[in-house]
Amino acid sequence: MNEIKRQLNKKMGSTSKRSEQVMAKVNVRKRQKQPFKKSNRLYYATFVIFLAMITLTILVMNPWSLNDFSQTTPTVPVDEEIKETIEELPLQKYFKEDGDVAYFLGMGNEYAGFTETTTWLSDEYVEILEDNTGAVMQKVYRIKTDAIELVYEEIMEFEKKSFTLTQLNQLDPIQTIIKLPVKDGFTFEGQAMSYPVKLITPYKEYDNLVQITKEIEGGKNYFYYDNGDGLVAKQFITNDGHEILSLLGSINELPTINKEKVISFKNTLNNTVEEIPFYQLTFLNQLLLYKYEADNFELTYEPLFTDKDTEIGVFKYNCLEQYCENAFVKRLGEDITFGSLVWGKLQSFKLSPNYENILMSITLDEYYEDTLLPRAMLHVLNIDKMEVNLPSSKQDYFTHPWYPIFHYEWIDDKTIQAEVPDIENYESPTIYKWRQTKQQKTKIIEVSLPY
Amino acid sequence: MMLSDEQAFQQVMETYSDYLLRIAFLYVKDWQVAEDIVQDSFLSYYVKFEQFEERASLKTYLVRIVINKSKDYLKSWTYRKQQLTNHFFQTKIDPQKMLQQAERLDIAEAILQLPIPLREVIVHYYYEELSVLEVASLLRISDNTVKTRMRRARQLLKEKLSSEEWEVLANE
Repeated sequence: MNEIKRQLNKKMGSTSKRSEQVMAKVNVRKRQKQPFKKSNRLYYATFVIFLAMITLTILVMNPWSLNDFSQTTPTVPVDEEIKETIEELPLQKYFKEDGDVAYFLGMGNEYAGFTETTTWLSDEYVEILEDNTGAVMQKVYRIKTDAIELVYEEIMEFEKKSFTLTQLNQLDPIQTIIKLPVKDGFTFEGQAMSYPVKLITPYKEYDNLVQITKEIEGGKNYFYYDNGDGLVAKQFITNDGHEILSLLGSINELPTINKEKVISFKNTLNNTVEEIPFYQLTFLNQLLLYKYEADNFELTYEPLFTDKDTEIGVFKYNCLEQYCENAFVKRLGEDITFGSLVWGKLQSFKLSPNYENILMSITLDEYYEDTLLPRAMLHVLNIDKMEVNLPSSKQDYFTHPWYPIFHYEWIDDKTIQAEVPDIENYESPTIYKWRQTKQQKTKIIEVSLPY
Repeated sequence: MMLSDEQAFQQVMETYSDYLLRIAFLYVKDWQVAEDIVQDSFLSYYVKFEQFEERASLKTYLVRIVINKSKDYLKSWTYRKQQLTNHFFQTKIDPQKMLQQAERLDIAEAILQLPIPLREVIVHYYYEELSVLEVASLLRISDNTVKTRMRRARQLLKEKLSSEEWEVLANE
């Protein structure tokens, strides 16, 4: 065996348990997905008759044993493997020290960043004040021998609520935050624990975090606790994929952003290398400022067109084959105004007759059944406002590369026409089937833009 | 599906699931996603089970499905969104693996850091032990492209690895 294969095998470790899980899940899922076979109907008919006969026999023999029968039906074990407990750690250490002020950096909305002040009320009670500049939340936690419970959680009005020890002891638990044993796969009160989890925050790299996942209305909450630094991150992912993220940035000192750091990029028009302060690239996740690795980050810039002193261009990064993250910007001297971000390949663009909007075609093809399915979207950017000019109708053609788009053009300053396949939906089998047809029937869609 | 077909399908899964999981992982670098990809690949195969009885190489066919599904995942919006925060959020640590990694696996690490077009030629050539022509046919690119990507990949690996490790690799 060659050294590369040996190392890759070693790195990946044993996959036999994963394989078993995959097979078990396939066996469960394939029951809903029968293979294409002419004899299927006959097979089903025989099976149904056979099943009916068995049921009838059982009913006749012993009508009260139906429950027993259902209990003896074999079930396929899925995800039943739970790893061993790694270690027991003191629950007190899942909080910061008394008086600590921690600064969390956020993204996703303006309240994702917050300041967390920790006060130890007694050996068993910890108060946390979370100030996200919009409101201050006062929380009190009770540390029991086997769990940490949230016992008080209210928005602070003018001053924080004070408690005597007796009052604290009388508070009913609202929710359990962490429960022993700390072990991977452990569940409690509808929450799932993962351990150990690795995570890099701007403050520190962590190797042994407890991750608590809780499904709530509209999405999933993830909390990350360190035995030593307490809460170090939280994340909320909505069901439609929007993410709100808070990461520990510093404790007892303000986090700083390095404004000096510059990033170099290649201008593909004249093949020159330019430099720009990193913080100006607002389309990049600002948290990357703290973990920015210049060597691994390739950024190129392609000017699209120039009008007087203004240049509209696109920054491309995170490329995979021909597809990249495309950040459309307006450059005026040294100022860069960010417009929009689209993942795919910029195929072509056309300016509106009044030069106020730019219409782009962005492709993101997909493999389906060994066949390449062309998919594209139209993307309109208003040059003055530098924002997406989204039509109110037929948004499927403008929000994601769903359909093949063959031709597009401006009819007037606010109207676009495009030629697309005449199909009901953009599911892969539909497009695949349409491509197999002789005619490949198309239709013309027309949309109006708000401005 | 008749019993013998069912047994044959189970046999296919038993034979290839380990291998396909590894290939998927080498693309997506996430075990959970790799498991999902292999599940979906087997299900795609299952639906068309009868049509592939006469296929010359089932293994190549399955590997190709896995590659396509892995690339689709890497192109997906879900993945791109995660990509930016993946600098912070990483996968669960397997304690056993931590012990294993006490042994330096720098070459493997460096390979996993390569961009997909370069990584995949290295994976199929060294890990799957395919010939240049076989890699070209599998990935549906020309053999010259395979060679160019191999050269570029080796160049990048040379920059990342210490001279001793590079010696090992250069002699492969």
